[in-house]
Amino acid sequence: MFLPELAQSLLSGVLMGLIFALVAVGLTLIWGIMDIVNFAHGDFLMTGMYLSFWMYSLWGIDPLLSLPVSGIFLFFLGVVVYQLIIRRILGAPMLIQIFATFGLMILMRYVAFYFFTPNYRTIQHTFLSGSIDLGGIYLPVPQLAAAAGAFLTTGAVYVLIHRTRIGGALQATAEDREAAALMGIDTDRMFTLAWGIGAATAGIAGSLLSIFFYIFPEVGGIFGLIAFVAVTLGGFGNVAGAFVAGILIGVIEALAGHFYDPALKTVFVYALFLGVLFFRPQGLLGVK
Amino acid sequence: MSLLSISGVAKRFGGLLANDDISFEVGEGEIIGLIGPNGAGKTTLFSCIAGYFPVTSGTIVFDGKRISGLPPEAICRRGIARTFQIVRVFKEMSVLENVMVGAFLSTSSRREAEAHARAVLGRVGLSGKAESFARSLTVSEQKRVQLARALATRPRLLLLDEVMAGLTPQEISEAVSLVRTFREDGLTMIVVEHVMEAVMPISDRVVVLDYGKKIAEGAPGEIVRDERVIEAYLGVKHRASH
Amino acid sequence: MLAAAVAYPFVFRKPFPQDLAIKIFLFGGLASAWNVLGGFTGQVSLGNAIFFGVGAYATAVVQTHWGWTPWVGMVLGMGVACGVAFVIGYPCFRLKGHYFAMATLAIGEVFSTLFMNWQWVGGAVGVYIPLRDDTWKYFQFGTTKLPYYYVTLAFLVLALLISEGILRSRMGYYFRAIREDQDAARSLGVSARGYKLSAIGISAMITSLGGGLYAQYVLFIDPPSVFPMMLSIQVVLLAVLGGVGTLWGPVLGTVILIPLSEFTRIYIGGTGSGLDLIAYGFLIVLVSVVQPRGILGFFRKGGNA
Repeated sequence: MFLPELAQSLLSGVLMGLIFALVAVGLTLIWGIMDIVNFAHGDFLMTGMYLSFWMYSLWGIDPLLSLPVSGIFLFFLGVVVYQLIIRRILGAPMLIQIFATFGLMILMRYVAFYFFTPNYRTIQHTFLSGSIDLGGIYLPVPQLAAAAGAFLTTGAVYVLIHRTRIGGALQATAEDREAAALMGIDTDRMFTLAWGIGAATAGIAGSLLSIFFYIFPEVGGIFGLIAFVAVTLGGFGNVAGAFVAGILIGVIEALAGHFYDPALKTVFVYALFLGVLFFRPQGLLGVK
Repeated sequence: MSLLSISGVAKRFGGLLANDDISFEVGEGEIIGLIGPNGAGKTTLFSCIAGYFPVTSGTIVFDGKRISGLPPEAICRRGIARTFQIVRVFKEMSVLENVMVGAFLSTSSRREAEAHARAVLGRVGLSGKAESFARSLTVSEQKRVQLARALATRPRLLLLDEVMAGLTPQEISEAVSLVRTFREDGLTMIVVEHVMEAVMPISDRVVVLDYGKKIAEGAPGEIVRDERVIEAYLGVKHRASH
Repeated sequence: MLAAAVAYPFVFRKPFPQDLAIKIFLFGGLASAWNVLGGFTGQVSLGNAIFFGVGAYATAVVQTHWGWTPWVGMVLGMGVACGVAFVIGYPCFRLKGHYFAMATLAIGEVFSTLFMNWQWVGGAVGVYIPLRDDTWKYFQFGTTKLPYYYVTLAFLVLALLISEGILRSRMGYYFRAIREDQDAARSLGVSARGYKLSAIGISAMITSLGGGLYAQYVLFIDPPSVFPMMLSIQVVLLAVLGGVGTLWGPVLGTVILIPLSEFTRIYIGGTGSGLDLIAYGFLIVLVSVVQPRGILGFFRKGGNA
């Protein structure tokens, strides 16, 4: 165990974890406000990745610049998904709710598969390249930039939820839908907003990720899973919890890769997930 | 010896002490009314008796054997049945099938279960609706389905949780007569109610809870005049006006 | 209808229609098996491929490692699958709906990865079942599909008979009560845990038998072919499309979807294109939003079986 290598792993874990955190925040928003598990969340991320990729390949737009476009597009996609699909299954039995977002996940993933082929793509950089040397530890600039972006976006969402009136309305709806409705809060609008923001955060995370990660149709699978684990760990509906959990998972995953076989990293995440489900379903920070 | 014996039962949820040192006895064939303001802990007590919550302390003894700590299905098999405050019928099953689920407790034959279920439905006056889906019934009919279903398990003790809420005066008096016929069959009952006109006439004794504690116990006539009970209910009105 | 099924292979003598029918029977049985757990009892498993794979591997491995007949392997597979089902079910049934589904998904993936790395059963390479001349003892037929046809037909019939038997019995009532309202069921003396375990055990055993039959039909298995998440999803889709929780729903869904997917595969392009999966995804969403009761839902008033 070499300390600098360990520190390297740890730090990359944190950087990646910030991205996990962003994805998780969007998922927990949706989950918390309407108790619906969005199986397609990872595929919103995938959509953001491909958006950035194509804007880069076709028009040479740097991912950092296409970020807002990604965010806006995914926001509207989230709204559309809510209006067309989710709204109609709000009162449906759980099987159907699972099915609906699950089907959406498959639909999105394989549309991407069909139109974009399963080939792995990457974005070569314009102005973000190289790494920063911190006394023997190398932090690649792309990852750093992505992590910073994720941190800022998560912060923005947090401020939105906890310091604005609209955020207050969202929280109220999450806590007690009927009471909020009685206070004049339009539940449908809140749900729509939640889906919009949730999808947008995933899309932004995707665009940030596209700076240094491979872009391929199934990428939503692993990030979606990690988002679930993070949300479960952090307590569903809990934005701060999802943030902390996301970083935690990034670190755990990095450490697992460091001490064991990197190929088994995913199994670790699954195992962690199952562990949380069994032993602490209310999350580390949640209330039962 | 009493059929049900509740001794020093307390139930705590985190910081909230929902039931605090509650003790009383229920004799065989008695009807006990359990009343108290909202939030007094009545449904929590039922859930403890029926096994949905483990008691924090105290014991519950039924028919000479300890039942506190057993799971709900075991308690039902011992002879205690309950209805739920918010009606929980099996929506996608017919009324008859609902009651058959209860009837299957004592037999594994579908024919026998069906026969028994139909008999119980006749008792509560729902024979005409046997084939209807439970979700198509009115709330008061669903309450009767719940009742029939619980009865089909042939209990010795029946816990009725606010069965009268939302009923018209006509329906209430029908329900009261129905409860009286159960007693004639030897069924022991604990009835939680807010509707005073319903619970006072049928109860042999009344237990009053307030803020999780038992504050009074006695015949209906005494309870109505008991100062502590009046205070508890009036106090609620005072609190509500703030 | 049974008579028609029996006569079918003599009318359609070409391998393709027979192969299609075999697939329909096999998937129909798998969908019915899932239906026992997911439809009747309301426990949505997104990982039934686990049991399929276990059955397939058990059947294959007893031949390659010990030279036994596949029939023994199938029985063994059923036992192992049942055991696995209990091990999975015991902790997982404590979880609420969504979480149970996600847990089965995660466990399915874990199994897939596990078998990919388990060298004793061939790891990523898979298992080739030794080829033999036509034989009942080793259940292999190279020259004709007829035996496969009748055996898989029997499999489907078995699955349906078991489903029907359950529905008419106390167990079926209890399963449905658990699906509707578990706590209310417990208040009536139904041991929720016991019955849920029974449900997953039955589902697992039937599914694993199907896995064994599959192994003998294609004579080669590897983790992606018998443990994929897609298989778990497919099985659920078939049952839900036809009518979740009903007796004939899974069969109906299979009869509609399997031929459709086979034909699209042949005429529109290879499995690599993802088009069939796009269709699956779309169908799943459509069913959820428009008619959650499945096709049979258009014909039934009221609730499920």
